[in-house]
Amino acid sequence: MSDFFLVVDDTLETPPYRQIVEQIRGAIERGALQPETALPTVRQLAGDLGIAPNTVARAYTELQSEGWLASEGRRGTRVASKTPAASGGDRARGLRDAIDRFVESLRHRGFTPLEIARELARITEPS
Amino acid sequence: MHHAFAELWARGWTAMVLAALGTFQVVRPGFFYTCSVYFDRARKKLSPAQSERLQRVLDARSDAEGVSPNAERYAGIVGIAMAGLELVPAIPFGVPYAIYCLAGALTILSSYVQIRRATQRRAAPLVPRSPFDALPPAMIAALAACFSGVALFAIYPPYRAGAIGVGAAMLILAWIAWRIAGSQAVLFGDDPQLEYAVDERLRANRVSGTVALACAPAVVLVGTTAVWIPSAYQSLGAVAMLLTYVAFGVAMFVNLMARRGADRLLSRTNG
Repeated sequence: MSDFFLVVDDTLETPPYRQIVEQIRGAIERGALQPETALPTVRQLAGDLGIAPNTVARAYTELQSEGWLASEGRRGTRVASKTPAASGGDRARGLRDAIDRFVESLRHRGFTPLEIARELARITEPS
Repeated sequence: MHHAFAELWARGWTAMVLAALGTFQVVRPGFFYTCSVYFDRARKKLSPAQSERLQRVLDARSDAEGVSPNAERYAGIVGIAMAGLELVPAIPFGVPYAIYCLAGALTILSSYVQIRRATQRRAAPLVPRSPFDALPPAMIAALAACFSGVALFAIYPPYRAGAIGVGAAMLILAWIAWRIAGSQAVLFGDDPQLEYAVDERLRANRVSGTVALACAPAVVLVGTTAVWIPSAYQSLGAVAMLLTYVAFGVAMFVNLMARRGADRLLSRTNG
């Protein structure tokens, strides 16, 4: 049984390949995907997500070039045995980028900056 | 004369079965191929909250597949039409039954073709999948054994055409089973773990059901006629009958086990 699922939403501003990259990278950073874990083939993942194989291939290529994934030819793609150490700066930049894109997508859907800020403040408020 | 009576008896019996199955499908569509039918047993063991959760997932899946009851009604109409054709001596025995099984399998395949454009949002498990997960070696061996039984039967001249027709239908059904085994997962991301468990069960049930459908015409052809074969061909008929009966038994056993697997559905999820 899989514990991690990728979700691609066509209605978001973020392109599907970027959604895939961020979710896989996030899962590796959180430990939801362990080193050496085998990933589905490009064709399988594209079929499951209902998107073009090129989109998945682009995401895998980017993650490989960043050192998160390793391609093993016919054995397929795996999470790299040594993933890049996420420095404090990288983490902060990754979080800022993700929030920027999230806020941008909400603004495209008609929410005002004040509405978004209030909701974010409510969610992040310590209970 | 001996052979003529045997064929008349076999045709009459098969036509009756086809007419009964076809009528049942027209009157009660959804009994054979809809999503929920594979989970009726599992549902009985669930709490009301779990059952409601499962129903939500099954409803979303059924909407995405868009298989209307009419698809099954058409398969039923094919069954009734084939019952009539089975009584026509010019048509090789067993072929109308094989066409009916093909119609049933096409109903299943059509749902998999339809869900390619199911929704704007899709989720995917990050786990490699192989068609052999849903089509285990026992099923492949059962198909091969059944096909061998039919191929052996082709040696007996009066049933040669029927054996070739049934063999061709078996190959097409095996291809359909393979396509379903390798088809994409359909998850919407609302309840991904349960959606994934349902998807796996549906795939296994439908593949094993299609393999059983592939073996059924072989059993009908060989089983209803082998005992009437003249003594010169008796040993051949016995071998063919043994092969197909054992193979069909294996196919049905795996099919039933796949259905029982749904009982353990929620134990593998968070619910």
